Amino acid sequence: MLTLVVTSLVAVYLLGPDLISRWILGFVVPRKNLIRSRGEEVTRAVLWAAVPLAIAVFWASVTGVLAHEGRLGDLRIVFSGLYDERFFEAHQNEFFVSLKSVFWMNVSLLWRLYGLVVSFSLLLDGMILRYRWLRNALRWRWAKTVLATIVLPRASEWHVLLSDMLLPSAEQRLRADVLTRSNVLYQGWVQDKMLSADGHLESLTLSDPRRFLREEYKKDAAVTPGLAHDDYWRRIPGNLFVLMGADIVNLNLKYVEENPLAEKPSSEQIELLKRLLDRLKEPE
Amino acid sequence: MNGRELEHVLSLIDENVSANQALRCSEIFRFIENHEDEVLAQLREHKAAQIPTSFGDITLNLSDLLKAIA
Repeated sequence: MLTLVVTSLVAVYLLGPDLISRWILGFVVPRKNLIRSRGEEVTRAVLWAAVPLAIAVFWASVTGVLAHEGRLGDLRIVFSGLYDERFFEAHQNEFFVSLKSVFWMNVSLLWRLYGLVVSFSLLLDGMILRYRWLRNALRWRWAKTVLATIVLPRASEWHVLLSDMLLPSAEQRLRADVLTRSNVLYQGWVQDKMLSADGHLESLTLSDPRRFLREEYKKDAAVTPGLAHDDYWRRIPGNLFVLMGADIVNLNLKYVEENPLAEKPSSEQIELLKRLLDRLKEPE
Repeated sequence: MNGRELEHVLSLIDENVSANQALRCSEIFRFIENHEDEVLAQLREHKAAQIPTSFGDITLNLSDLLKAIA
């Protein structure tokens, strides 16, 4: 009986908060799953629960709720009764009175513990969703590192790299050059990605895709050194191009401003544009 | 990657974003300069021109051009 009670207490005090936090974090971001041993899982769960548990105990103690619900003596009687049948038979009345107190002591601790875990997890969800804004709002490098240390390790690296989390501003888009195992280079705007349950990249979807004609380029470049490669990209008809994660050898990610002329052009460039616009006004 | 490593990647991105923008801008203007008639024809027909760059084809709207010289 004592083993059963201790196991239940370990589950609700240590493993429960970890499970709840994982579940809530899963709402907004594909989590990073690491292959851990059972010992590492328990250590992580204990560490994850220790801080909110300490705060919950402090909270309940300072407000006097814990003392109001019961005393340490109640805990001693309950555990002694569970451990020793003879003690239980000799102190049945005290046991059940203390059991009630211990139950309410646990209730007062548990709602505080879970309240804290849920609040912190929701706060973390908010920080993940508003990561770009938060990071831009922070001035100091160390503060950015602290933010990254709190928020980013809980998300899959692929989500961090391939979502808009890292884009410096909302006016920028993510573009990728993708080299596949068959040695073909593709390019396009990153539109979507699929991640497996353990956070690995299953597929990458590109919009406005194009393929580099590597063989033709190599052949022509052998004849004409310094040949520009712009003419060797071929558009791929279709709306979205899906590349399977297993086929991807490497990715070159580019953060590109949506407005092509976001920066003020130089005076020579403005002159060129003016000339172009003047010619546009002329009759054909 | 831990948070510190990711933050380092982010700072590298911050440093390179403006370089990307400058490179693309110079490619756009080089193309306009070398293919002025072609760009003009596209602007006349569609009020927009497709400019090939190493970042993919960029659609340059007439409104973008007017805004740039404003």
